[in-house]
Amino acid sequence: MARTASTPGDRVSPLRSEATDEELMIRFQSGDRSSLGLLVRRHKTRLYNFALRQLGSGPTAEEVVQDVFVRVVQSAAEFKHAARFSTWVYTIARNLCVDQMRKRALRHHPSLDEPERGPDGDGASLGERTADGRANVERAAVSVEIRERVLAAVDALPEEQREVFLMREVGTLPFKDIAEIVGVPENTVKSRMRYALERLQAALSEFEEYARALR
Amino acid sequence: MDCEKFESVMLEELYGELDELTAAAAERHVAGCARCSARIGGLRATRRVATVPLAEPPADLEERILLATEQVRVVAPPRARLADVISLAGSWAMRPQTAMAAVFLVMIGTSVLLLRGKSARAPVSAEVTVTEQGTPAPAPSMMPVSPLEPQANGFAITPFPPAAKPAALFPPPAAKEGPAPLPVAAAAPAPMRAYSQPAPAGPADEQSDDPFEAALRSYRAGRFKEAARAFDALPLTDPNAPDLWAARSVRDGKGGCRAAVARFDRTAQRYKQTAPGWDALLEGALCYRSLGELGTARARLSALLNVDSHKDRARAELDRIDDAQQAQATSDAPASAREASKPRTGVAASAQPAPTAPVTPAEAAGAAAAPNH
Repeated sequence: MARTASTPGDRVSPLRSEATDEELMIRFQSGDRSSLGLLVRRHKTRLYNFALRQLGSGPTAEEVVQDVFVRVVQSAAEFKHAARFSTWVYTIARNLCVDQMRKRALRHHPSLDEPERGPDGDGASLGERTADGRANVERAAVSVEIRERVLAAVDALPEEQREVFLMREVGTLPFKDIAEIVGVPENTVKSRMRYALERLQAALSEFEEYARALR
Repeated sequence: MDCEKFESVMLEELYGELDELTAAAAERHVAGCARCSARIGGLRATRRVATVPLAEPPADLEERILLATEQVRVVAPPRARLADVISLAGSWAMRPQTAMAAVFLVMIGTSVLLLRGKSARAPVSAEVTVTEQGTPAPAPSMMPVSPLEPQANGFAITPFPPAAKPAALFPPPAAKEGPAPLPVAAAAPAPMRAYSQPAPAGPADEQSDDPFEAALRSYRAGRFKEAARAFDALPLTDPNAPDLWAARSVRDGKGGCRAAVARFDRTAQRYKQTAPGWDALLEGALCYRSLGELGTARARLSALLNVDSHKDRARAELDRIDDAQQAQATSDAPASAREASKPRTGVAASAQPAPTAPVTPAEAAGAAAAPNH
């Protein structure tokens, strides 16, 4: 009995949409090209935000995300079924970000009100495009001021702490996987994360009471 | 737990990555230690405030990505594609499964040759029991009536000699004298608890002072919390795979599958390519399925299709998932779509896919895949 059936066009069967990343990669390796589209849809926003916070430039972050998936396709045959897809793509994304940062002397810090290149060049600002899309409203930063302070505090983190923080909070990767991506022991990753949180705690201390009220 | 220990696990506690027992110990410590309570409280508040707002990428980014990847595929040179095929064929040839398959073929071939020789010398007085259709009668354990009574078909059924124990589908943990394997659930979908019924304790078990045996006694007696603690206390180097049993104890106790899945994943990772690892992968998959996380269950079961000892069971469970999803899709589809639908197509837009569990650190597929490095 066939367990799956390819669906033509962009229609996605619930069977495929429930598949894990690894299963989608296996299907892509077997020739199911629509599985790649699902993977892109699933990961593009978080990868984009990871690159954006690392590089500080929307267009560059878009290039990075595009390059990530180009490399995924180029290396698809080598993807080991033992590996986790998220670990793999974030390793690629991190390496591309490192390359970009080496090319750039200074990081560009876009303000939330600075016009960004929209799909039709309409210049929608980053602030207008920032989606408060978290399912848990209690954790969302509800004002532009808090958002700006948070982003500034994250941008101010030392690079090694920032990348760990972003992989955890934006990429939702477990510490073990972050250790594999960054190439350091897991305890080192946890130390960096702890230091990052302590720095953010100091930078955002005036909002701590507000945060406690969110409980 | 003291403050030093709490400090070492505080981050996992903050992100909910602790196992059930350690989490409980951490919570008890926080309840009684103002310093640690303030520390973790502050970090929790920081996490709430420092929520990185997710910016939406441009709407056309996905299209640009797919176009770029399409161009990459189009321009791949034939030589590169041929190299890919050769590399893939080579990697398959080098897999341990391929070697195992070759060994099995040799064994089967040798057995056939030997059996052919033996059957030619079979004693004339050997009893052969057949059914009405001429096939051997089933083993006595599956016969509902006492032997030597005439059956409806008129044949008196003579039992086989005392049958050996039914072969376990899953080999026992990699140990010289491990516990008896759990009986396999019936072919029909079985509740999780039925799968976990322990094998009956033998007289020797009651007298053993071995810590593992003591923990196993607790498990068999249904004292799952006690059993989990006892298994957790055993060294990981214990050949009886105590962490697999600890996971089973959590599953069968109050924690249930929700608390046990992380343990099964860790065990599968720890005992990669061994019987306990495959057992953990399978039992973890069944837990994920019972939690409705079918995609995660499916990935783990798929990984077992390459394992000779587990592939039949994995295939059966995968088919069960497919059947259940097909039934769900059919019942959700509007009547017109149902009439026109072929198997596995025509799903209504209202059908909501089950959420996929966040993948745990255990690399599920790696527990069964061959190491290509």
